[in-house]
Amino acid sequence: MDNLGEAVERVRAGDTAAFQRIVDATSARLVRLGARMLGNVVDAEDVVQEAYVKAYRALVTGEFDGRANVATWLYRIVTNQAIDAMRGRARRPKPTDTADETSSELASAEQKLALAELADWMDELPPDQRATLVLKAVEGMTSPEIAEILQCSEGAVEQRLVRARAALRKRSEAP
Amino acid sequence: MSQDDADIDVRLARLADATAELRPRADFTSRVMQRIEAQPAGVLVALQLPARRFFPISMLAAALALLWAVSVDRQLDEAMATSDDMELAAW
Repeated sequence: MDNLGEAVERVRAGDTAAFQRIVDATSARLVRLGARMLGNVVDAEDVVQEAYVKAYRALVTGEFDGRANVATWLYRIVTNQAIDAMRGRARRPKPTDTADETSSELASAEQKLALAELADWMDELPPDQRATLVLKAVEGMTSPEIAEILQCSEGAVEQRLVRARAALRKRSEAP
Repeated sequence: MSQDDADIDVRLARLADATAELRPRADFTSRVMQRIEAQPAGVLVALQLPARRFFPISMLAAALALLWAVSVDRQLDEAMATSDDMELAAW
């Protein structure tokens, strides 16, 4: 994600079309992040689309003052949206395979298998632990970066990682 | 780091590699831009959020105004009743 400051300024000044530059520069990474958290690309696209609408509104209203890093800020919105989606999903019965069918054009068989494996493996983790582990071990972010995205302390990030790993260890030990 | 932790990291790294090339659909950007262009004009959006923030205060102000209106109405009723009584007494 390159320097998007100019596009941000143009959107804030009322140039809606400039928002496309932000989408072009960030959508691949954000959809990939969402897919890794949610287990499929279709849900990830929905989450990222909602995140962009929120981001646009925050730019237009001046809620985003432009001092924070745009990429980090977008990561934060997408991560929060994905956590909400995971929580909502936990309250609802699991859907059928429609998402898989629709996403057949989006991902190769290998990618779909990997996403399904990731989702199944982390299925029992609480959404915040799952998000933290994905940001750290799959996205390759540092603990301070994750703390900024999740708006918590580095200690809280480390604690979530320890708990997530313990839960995965316990799961692998289970018969 | 225990062997279990190392195994977890190896598996996560493998899954990260396998999903590294994931992309949204080709029409994703145009779908997002359609949603963005369908948003209310900047000024309206700018007014909506502060309005939402002031909602609880507005509700409180409306409740206070109602109480004030009821109390004024009561005072007016009492004043008119007194005035009627005085008129009757004078008559």
